Amino acid sequence: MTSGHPKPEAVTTGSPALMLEVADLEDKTPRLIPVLIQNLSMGGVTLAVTNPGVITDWDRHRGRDCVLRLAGPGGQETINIKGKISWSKFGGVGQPPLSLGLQMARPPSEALKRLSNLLSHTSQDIKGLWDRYDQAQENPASSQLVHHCYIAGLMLLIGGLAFQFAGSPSYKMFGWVLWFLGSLGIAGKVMRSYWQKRGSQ
Amino acid sequence: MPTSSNRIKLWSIGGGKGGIGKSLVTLGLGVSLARLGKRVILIDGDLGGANLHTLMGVRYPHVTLEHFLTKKVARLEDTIIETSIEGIGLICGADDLLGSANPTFTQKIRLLHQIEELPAQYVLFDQGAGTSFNTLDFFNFSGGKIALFTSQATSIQNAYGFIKSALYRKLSRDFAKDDEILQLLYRGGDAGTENSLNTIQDLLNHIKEVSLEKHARLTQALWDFHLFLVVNMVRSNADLKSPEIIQTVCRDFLNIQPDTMGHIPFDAGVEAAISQIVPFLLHQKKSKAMAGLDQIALRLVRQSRLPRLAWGRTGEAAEEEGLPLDTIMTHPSRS
Repeated sequence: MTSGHPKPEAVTTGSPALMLEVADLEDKTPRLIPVLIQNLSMGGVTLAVTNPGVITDWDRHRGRDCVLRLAGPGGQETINIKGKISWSKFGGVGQPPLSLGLQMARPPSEALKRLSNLLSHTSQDIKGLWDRYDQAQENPASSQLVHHCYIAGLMLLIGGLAFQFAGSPSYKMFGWVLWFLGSLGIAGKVMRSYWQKRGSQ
Repeated sequence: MPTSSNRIKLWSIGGGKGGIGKSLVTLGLGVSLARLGKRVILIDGDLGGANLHTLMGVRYPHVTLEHFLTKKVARLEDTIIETSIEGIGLICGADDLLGSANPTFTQKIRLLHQIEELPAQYVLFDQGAGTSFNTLDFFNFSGGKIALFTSQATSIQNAYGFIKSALYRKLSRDFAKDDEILQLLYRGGDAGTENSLNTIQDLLNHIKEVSLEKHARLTQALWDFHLFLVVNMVRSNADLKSPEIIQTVCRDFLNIQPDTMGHIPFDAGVEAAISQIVPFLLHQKKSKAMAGLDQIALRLVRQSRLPRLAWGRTGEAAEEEGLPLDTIMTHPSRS
């Protein structure tokens, strides 16, 4: 729960859960640099580099591609997030030696969730709020598709029933097919709502 | 603030964020209730930034809440301005005296007492933006609480922050003399520490081990804090997910279950009504916003007649008369 008071910078503890892969500008060798997460938005992430000496000239990396490797907790699969370095800034006293701003390319929701879990200074309810917000923002197009499928299913079901009861005997089989397809459309919508509800709990 | 007939009379409309339409929704709800034949009084509670009167076409109110707070007018009832809409009276907010933006505790108590006496079936209290203690106290005092927001991320965030602040304000007042619970409440803010209580459920579990009596009191306090969600300026079905977001976070982290009271579709005509400073445009039957407000008004009337029974108790109204006013203030739904 938030207290409203300023909090110290976040640190990720334990083994490096987060590594940034940056290609060396001279020999193009990829270098893996341990980083800590400082802040997170829908498409961007701010990272702290505690040992920036590995790369000599960070300014030249602005606009370059990079990969953020996100180790999974408890042996889960590592997620690689492609992105670009937007900015870099060396810190003063009491700040991380170097901060990096990364623009992530379409990060999957699981990646955002794992990244937000690494933000130790954020209160759980605010994390929960943004997790649910991200979920609600996901795939509005697929929601529309499901809605259309539902409407189509309803129409097919009604059409099928009409054929069943009012159509000639030769159309009864056709009515069964419409009835079946319509039921599938409606069941799809019901099941989706059910799983979404379970997922949010 | 339930009346003697156990009906909720005072409804507060809050939401934390500015510019989400609190004043307009208050006015629209007033219009809808008046259409239902109810006598309504609107109070502009935005002390320091009042503009509900402007929305109602009143440019130069001759009497405001300031006159009452500074005792130039003895009775709150005498500050009611009859408006051009039949059935709606208006108490204008104070916006030209710095002191009135921050009334003293005594002034607040005097105001809250007299709201109860106002000659109306419904009193709608338009809360100012932000989470000042005044706003939270007025909101908590109201028998009917509406948290208004839009589907914008910032509005959802502020609405949750507002609800949480109001709940914490209530709990800190309810348990003002209980240092142990107060400390535990504050410990909830120490995110990231091992001993932090991340949810109210964590707090309840912790208190249950210490004292069953305190656990029961806290459960009661949470039960009393009942509010309704209204989402404004809805443009698409996707916008209707925003109340669900707040509901699930409130349920999971605050142990409260807000109900959704309804939504108000986005209506460009409302902008015109504001620009022309004419509330009559809200009367138009074609107005999508008014259709949504009419639905909400119907639910408001219904909810006003359905008082929530106290948690595990009945018939406490007589007992409550003997309680200190501060306690009554923070337990509005018990009587």
